[in-house]
Amino acid sequence: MKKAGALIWGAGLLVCLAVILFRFQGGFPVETNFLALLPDEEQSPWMEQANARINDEVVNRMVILLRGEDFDSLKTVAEDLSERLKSVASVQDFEDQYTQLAEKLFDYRAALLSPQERQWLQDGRADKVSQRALAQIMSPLGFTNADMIRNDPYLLFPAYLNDRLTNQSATKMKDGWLMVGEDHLLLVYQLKGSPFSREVQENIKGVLDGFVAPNGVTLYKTGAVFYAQQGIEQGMEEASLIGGLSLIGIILLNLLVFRSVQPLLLSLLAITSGVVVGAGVCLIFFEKLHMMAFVFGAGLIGISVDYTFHYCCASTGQDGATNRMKINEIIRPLSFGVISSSLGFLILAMTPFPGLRQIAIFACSGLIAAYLCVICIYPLIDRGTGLKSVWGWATLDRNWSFIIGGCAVLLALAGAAKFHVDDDVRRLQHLPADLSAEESYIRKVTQLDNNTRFLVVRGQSVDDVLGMQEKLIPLLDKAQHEGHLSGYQSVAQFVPSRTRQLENHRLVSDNLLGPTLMQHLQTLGLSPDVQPYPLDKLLKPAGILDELQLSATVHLMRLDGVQLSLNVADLLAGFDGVEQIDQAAAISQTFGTYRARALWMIALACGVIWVFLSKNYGVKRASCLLAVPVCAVVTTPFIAALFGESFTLFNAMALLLVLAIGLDYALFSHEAKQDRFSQVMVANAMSALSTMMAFGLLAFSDLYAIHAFGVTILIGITISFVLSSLLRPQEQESK
Amino acid sequence: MRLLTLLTLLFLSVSVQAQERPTQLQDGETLRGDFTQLRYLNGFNHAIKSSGVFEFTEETGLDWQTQTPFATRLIVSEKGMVQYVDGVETLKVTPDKFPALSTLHEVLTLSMTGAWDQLEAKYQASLEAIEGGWQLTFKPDGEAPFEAVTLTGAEYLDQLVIRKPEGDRDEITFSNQHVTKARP
Repeated sequence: MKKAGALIWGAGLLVCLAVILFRFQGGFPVETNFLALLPDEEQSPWMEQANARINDEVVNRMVILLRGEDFDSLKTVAEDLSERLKSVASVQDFEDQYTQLAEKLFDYRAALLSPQERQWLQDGRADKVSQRALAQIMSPLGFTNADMIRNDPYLLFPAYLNDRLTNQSATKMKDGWLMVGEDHLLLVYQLKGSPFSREVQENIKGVLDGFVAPNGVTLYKTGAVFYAQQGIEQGMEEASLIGGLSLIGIILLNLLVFRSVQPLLLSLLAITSGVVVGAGVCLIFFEKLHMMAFVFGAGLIGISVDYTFHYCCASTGQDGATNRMKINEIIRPLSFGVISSSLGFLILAMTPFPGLRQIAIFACSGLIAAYLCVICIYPLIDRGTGLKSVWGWATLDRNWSFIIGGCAVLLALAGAAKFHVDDDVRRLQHLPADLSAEESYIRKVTQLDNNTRFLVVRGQSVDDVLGMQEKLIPLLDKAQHEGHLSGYQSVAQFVPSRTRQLENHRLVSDNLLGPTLMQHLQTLGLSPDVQPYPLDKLLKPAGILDELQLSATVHLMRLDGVQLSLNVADLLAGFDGVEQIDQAAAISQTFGTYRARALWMIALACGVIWVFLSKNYGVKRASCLLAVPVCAVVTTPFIAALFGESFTLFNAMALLLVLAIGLDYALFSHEAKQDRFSQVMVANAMSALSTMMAFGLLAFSDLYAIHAFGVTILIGITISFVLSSLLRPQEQESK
Repeated sequence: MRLLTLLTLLFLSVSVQAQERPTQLQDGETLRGDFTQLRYLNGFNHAIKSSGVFEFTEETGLDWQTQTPFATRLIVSEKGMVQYVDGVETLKVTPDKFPALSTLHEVLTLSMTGAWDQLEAKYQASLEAIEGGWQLTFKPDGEAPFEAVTLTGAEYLDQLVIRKPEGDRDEITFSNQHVTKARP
């Protein structure tokens, strides 16, 4: 049995190592995009398409703004940068979008009327249109020329275009480059890979770090890629700092209590085998390991170190205790602990949440490996470790336990009033100050901003879709005028629906042609044989703002600079075919769903564990045992709320770990014989301390998810440990 | 002070020689006068004629009030150009949409304030003496699509001629120009 276990352990380890090595050949197999934790949503194909289009626009975009007084040096820098970034990002070719657009639209001028012109013509005031055109032609600074006036004597087209361009951005083209004012050159890049890819990030960082802008040129940058990169770097920095601190703490704790390095080495073996097997098994099922799964997987450290503590504390003070005796002393609670935790994790694996599944598989397989290591390998290599004597330092007086436990309940009750859930995904986006400053500068200069929303407009026909947009546009104009949004883009801004184009044709032919035109031409000094307005051409949307057209009957509308004051849902009331796409809100909602689901899973896990324990201990004792971790799980979120913490998906995930570890404490206390209770509590205390060092320190992280995780563990483990001493063996004596 | 200015002007106008430089507008002063504009469009039967009054200060820009054939008003400043017909805004253009506007605004400001040195330096042209006054001809670089701009004047700017590429031409003639202190 022992040998078989050792063999299984060794073989598993080798297989997992091979898998890890294999995956590493295809690149660094770690996923850092938080969104990868989320399930692949079942979305309608057009919604998926819309999201992909928006992602291209927003996430895969990198913006660099160059400031300098001299256009030539700006241009040189822009050319140089774009050349160096060529392999990872291509500069967006804007050309002169609007000149092209204008050329395209001009032929359809009789079908395109500005709102003012339409109003005048509907009121029968052709004289107003004529006067406005004359005023413009007579203006000393008129940009009209003979050719333009001959083709459009009422200047209908400039009026239309000017009205349409009112809400466009403040950029212009100069020598093929996009300029904002005179001294800012704007470069908009499209990344060729995911901004979350380490390779893309490293490449861009390499180029920008090695790039020295000449005197007088300042470079500002923004984009998801920079935030993602900083996030990873910060994560790694913190991981090494916090990991280092906790490692030192755990080493000191070991040396202090056991006065030997051997327990440490044993722990190290159990942990390493756990992590290797966890990662290996995960990588069999998944191509990449998620960073969060890894952090959680590190939870194994907490648990498998506990096993070592219990092993080393076993048989304390017994002369001639063999390794086998030690194992026999702990095998029952250890096995129950592993089985219960694994059951809990397996339930987690049943969720459709890829992130949770990875965590479950990682934890479950790693835990079993560590368990095998403790019971099969330790006896083979242990050369007499263990406590020489036990002090009562870790044994809490029952009264104290009650007092502390009572305090926890009171704190939880007090915190209940402040308890609040928070699923806002934007909390996950950590915004480092320097990047934020650059971003806000770019925003200020370009008036581009992040508060972009997209609407999806669906209809039966092209005309239907354009017509809906036409009805929305006046509402958007009003909202823009009132300052609730800075601008918008819609195909119907440039392409009126067929209905409206025909109406415009009619308005033009009824009011502006015939004798009215003759009169107007005469005033201008043009011969009356001019036929300026073709009434047989209808403009189609193909080729105009193509990026907003998913198909003929599905269009996007883009709202820029949306203020909180704008209730988009209210705006859309009554528009059946129009929906808002708010990715942040959609993801937040998913977070909420999974937060709730994670809690149900914990409840279900409790149920399964209770059934398992009841079979072995009987209902009453199983209930007492389970009460310890359940108390911790229930009170922790409320106590955290007292400190202003909100309850998120990550807190819920941490509660699962609290359940697993808390149950171990309870099992070991409960299984301890009367004369062994002190030593078991020493092991429990050391487990709790090391878990707090390994996890509790995460509470100091700046990354929200990690912080939430750490805080929950810190509080939950403390409560579990305190309550576990209530299970001291007096109760068992009555059995 | 007003008297002094007048006397100075009088003195200057007496002593001015053909090659002397025109008056410069001081801070806070307003230039007012009448104008007649003829716009020649290539292939059109006759020029489009308009006339009215104008007012210029360096701070607020040019206020161009056409009276015939009908009343319109145009205000050109750094911020762009706004046109009103019957008191209703009918056109608003900002320089970032029509970069040529900045060039025109600059030429107007420099010539109306009499900052000829800057005009000469900027366009590498020099004032030429002609009979009864002076003339400056140049081709603005940058965004403005003009073939040539010719400024003619004596004490003040008297005529502005802009030639455009397609054979169009604007001739603006100023008269009754006078400078007043801005109202406090």
